[in-house]
Amino acid sequence: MVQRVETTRANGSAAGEVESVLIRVPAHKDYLVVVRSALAQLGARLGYTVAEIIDLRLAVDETCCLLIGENPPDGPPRGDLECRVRVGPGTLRIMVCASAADVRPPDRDGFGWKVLTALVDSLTWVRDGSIARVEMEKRHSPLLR
Amino acid sequence: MPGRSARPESVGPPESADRPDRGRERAAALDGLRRLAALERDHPERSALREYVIGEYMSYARYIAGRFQHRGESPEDLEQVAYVGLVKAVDNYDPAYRTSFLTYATPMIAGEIKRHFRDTTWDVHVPRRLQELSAALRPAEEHLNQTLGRDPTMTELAEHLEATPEEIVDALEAAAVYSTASLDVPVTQSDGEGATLGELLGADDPAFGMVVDRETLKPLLADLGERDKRILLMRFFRGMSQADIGDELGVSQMQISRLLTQILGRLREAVER
Repeated sequence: MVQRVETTRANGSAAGEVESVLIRVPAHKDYLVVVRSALAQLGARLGYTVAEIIDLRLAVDETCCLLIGENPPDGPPRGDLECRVRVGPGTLRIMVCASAADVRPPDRDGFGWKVLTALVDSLTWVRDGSIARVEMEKRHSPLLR
Repeated sequence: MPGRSARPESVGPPESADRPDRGRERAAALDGLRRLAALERDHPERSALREYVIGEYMSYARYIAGRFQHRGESPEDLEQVAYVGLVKAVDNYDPAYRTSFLTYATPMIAGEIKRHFRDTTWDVHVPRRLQELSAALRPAEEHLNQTLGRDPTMTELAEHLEATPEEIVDALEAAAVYSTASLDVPVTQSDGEGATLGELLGADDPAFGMVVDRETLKPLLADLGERDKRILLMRFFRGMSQADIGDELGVSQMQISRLLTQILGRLREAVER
């Protein structure tokens, strides 16, 4: 099982202020801790509050679980789960994708989806051919001083 | 027998009260134990006899389990653990020990329960430093909130606690509800006894029929703890059954059912206010 965590520092000019982090792990429950911890650490570095980090982490964890889908928890992972994070000023834009083969699309009118959207600032579900993707953004509240 | 309640002679489990022939049964169970100890491991009668003896002492195991209630573990779970202890006691008891079976079995059953508490309490899994940090998080957050007039950032929290932000994130992870270990199981409430049939079957959560949008939900969710939010998501986003959620979090389906009822009730109340 390959597990890769890459950090890419964009060269300023191309993508403006945005830096990006790419995390790719086997699409298996056991690896979720890598993804959600990385996101939490990024949030901490960017000055998020505990509550914001907890919500971000929950949203990422649930999203990954959705995308890992019906993969049997005891079997080998089928394919990879990729999490791309764009680190902007005061915001994290997160794209998580995996093979759509085993993924049941979320019920976007359902209560569960509403709960998830309420934890972040934006949330989108995309089915792109054989790839299922969830995009979300979590901004941190401006500090009142 | 007006004015007189039947009292059992022995100090045993309460159900001996309505079983007048308890004494004879106990003698039979003791005799069973003696025969069991004498039988070869692979004797054909062994398993039936073993089952009989275990069955005879199950009420005693439940009685011991009852003494450990109200520590946050569901009675059913406790009983299961007590039965494990009982089975071990039955399998290992030897009349040659010259102690009565109950003298032998009691510490074994209690030991099994204590071990269960130890294993499902997070301190075996989480290093001490993280535990301390984890416990210090909430008070530190409140303190900083007072002095800053807003929620502190992780960096500020880390400074205040003389830790690195990385450690604080780890402490958060440790305190989170991703494993059995850290699920702080609520003590069963006294009014929680009357579980409805629906709860028992885990069929329908109180249908969340109300119209609620994201903006209404936001402040309501902010008041919920991480565990509650996670249970909501597991149930309604991933569509997991109560039993599966229970398995993943290491508690019984009944407890998940109670929690969901509580959480949804609170949300509904807040929405309808």
